Amino acid sequence: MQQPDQGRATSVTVAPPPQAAAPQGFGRPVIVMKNAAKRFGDAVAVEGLNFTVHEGEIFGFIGPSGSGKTTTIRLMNGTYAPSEGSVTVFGEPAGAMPGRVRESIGYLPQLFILYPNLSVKENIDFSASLYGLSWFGRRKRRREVLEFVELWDHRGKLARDISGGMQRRLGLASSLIHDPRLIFLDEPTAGIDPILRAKFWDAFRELKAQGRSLFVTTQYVTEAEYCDHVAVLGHGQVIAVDTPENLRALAYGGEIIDVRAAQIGHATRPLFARLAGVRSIDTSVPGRARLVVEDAPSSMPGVMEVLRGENIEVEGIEQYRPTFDEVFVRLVERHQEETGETLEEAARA
Amino acid sequence: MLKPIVRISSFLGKEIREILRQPWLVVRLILGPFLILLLVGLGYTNNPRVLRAMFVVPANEPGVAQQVEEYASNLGPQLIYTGQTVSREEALQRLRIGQVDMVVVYPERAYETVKNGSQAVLELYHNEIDPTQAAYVDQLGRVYVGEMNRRILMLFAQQAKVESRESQAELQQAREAAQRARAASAAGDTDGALEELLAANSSIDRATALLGATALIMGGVGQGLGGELAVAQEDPLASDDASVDERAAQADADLDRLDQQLVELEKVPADVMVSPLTTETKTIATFTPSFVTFYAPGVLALILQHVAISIASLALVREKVAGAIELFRVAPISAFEILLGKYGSYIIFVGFLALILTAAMIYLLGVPLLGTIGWLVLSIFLLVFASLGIGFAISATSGTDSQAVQASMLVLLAAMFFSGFVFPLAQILVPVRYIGYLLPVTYSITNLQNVMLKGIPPPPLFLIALAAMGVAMFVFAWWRYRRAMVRV
Repeated sequence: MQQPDQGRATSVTVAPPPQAAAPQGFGRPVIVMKNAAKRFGDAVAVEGLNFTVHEGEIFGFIGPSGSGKTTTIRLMNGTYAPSEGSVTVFGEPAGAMPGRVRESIGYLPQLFILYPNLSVKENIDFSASLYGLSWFGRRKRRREVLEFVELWDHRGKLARDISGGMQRRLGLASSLIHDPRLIFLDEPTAGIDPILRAKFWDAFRELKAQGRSLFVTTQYVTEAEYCDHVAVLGHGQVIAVDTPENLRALAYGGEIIDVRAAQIGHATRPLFARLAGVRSIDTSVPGRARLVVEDAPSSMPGVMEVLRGENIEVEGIEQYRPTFDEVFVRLVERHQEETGETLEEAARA
Repeated sequence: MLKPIVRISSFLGKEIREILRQPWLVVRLILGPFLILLLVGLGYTNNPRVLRAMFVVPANEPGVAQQVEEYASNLGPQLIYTGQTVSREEALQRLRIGQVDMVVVYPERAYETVKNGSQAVLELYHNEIDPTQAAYVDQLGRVYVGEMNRRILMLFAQQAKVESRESQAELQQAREAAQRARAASAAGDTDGALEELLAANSSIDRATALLGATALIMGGVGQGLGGELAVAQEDPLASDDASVDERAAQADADLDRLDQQLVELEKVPADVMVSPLTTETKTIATFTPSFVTFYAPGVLALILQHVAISIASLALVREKVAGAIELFRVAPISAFEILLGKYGSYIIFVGFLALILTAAMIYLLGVPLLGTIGWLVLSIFLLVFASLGIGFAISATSGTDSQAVQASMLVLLAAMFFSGFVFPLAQILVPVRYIGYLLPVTYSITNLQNVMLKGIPPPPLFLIALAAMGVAMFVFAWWRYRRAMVRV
């Protein structure tokens, strides 16, 4: 189980940066959004949505509450018709998906909308029969999904009598009962404890390993780490779409190296400037230099060599991996700088 | 082909399980209506209301006071005599504070008023604001006055009988005097004969005095009696043309006829004289139900309509509000399949409820089933089908649970007033009456009464109307729900 990045400095020798999955490593496109927008009257919910979700990947859709994540999911699952642009799912327009395409889609809405007076098993049966699974056809699958979400032992309990986390898992099981190839998960980890969140992400990775595509919205920015691709949403617009590592690089202009030495200060800036691949130097904190480089692992030996050449004793050198909270804030700030929008305007939007 | 059936069946099981998982809902839906039915059956007596009456009598006529008390205490169970007073104000004050329900004011010098050829007026006071109760008090007052009049006439009739017996004795004396007159005439004693005839005439005069008023009161009953008296009263000395014999013989014959009529009068009882006509109602219906039995099919129809509309009105809107409709929009299920599934489950549930209520009516309340089971099942099925349609139409057009509940309560209210359950349809003006024909219960009351109480099939037009209403409501609900399901 991969743990969330808590913003710790990571030793270069102990924890190499994870490899970002390349788009070409995935299958064919399953969702294609082309300049899609949705308006309700004069209010713009989302606009300019351009991205593609490929088969077998976890696509994260990250943004603060009210930024348009649920609207985007509804555009993709056919609940909303786009005001402009196009949305296709498995090659079909999302609003006119034939039954066979709908049978390939699973959907976990943001809120628990199953039936509190039915048992766990009965809720699963109801979801299965919505997709046309007969009693004989769903028996084996029912056990599989309930074991998958660890609810098999609770199958006889009424949904109203189980905990919120179990209800969430029941919702996930219901969205999986018909063995979908594409699963929309609208804030699946909202309001649940970190241990259960980790279990959910374990489950998502397992689903991905089974060859399914997952479109996951979340307001927990750190969860972007677990996705193959991430779209960052800010007040109805996609600010950036890329792999998590590329987003880090995009936010700061490269990878970050932190160097600690007592002599480091403004006077040492020319030393770092001489190094190839250094994009920016920050020595505002005495005894520490933060360098933005093109590639951290390959740049660190050069940094050590330059400092030793000047008889500067290096107390520590490490790659700094900013948290996705920091990355998200940085990306939003960059977007505001580019669009000239103030923080207050962004907040109002 | 199998998948749509599976999808439809998903709602069939889900809805029934959801209902059964709410025991209090089941209790309210099944036991509640039955208990209401039972309590109405046990508690309603159909006896008219009993009124406490106080009488105001003239101050200076003690005979009237005695007569009022005697009559008022024996006027039937609907009138409780609470006393009498000479003060109208006191009686009206007791009426105002609710100590009595009716005040009857006797007229002063009633006897003289009648004697002078006018009607004496009894005033009746009440304090009712309910038009039905006011009409009831008025009607009871009329019955009361009618009964008083009848009793007065009875007294006259009984008095007349006594007097007729006395007059018969006088007439017998007249007859004997006439015989003596004939004997005197035969003996050539003309003076004696005339004297006897005069004696006979005196007896006839006394008989006339006794019978005169009675004959007038008897009116049609004693027809001819007055004429015979008039003939008999003719002065035997008024004409010289006829001989004494002839006149005596004539008087004898007249007296025979008069006597015969008095005997006939004696035979007629006094109550028949004052109320010669009465009514006796007969029915050709094979079964005459009690009040509770008559209303039971109507109550069943009303309960079934209300339950069906109530549960169906929440069926769609509840899932709209809770968000489940979002799942349905994404899943490969259509509005038609959802509606079919819900219809099926609710028809099963309300059908089960109907079975229990009907069995309870038959075996616990003794309501008969004179018709066939087939007609009963068809009548109930069409009632439930049409009522569910109205419920689903409400649900498909409501935005919240409370809107749906309010709408179904409005339909219940309309059913109470416009279906013929409380007020007969014939008493509702035509444009307003048509509202009743928009309600399944209006047709179903007649249908169920026909099948259960008359043993005949429901009117075919009523069955067709219910089926048409059910289909129309289904199509409307489907159209509305389809709109709610499509993407926006």
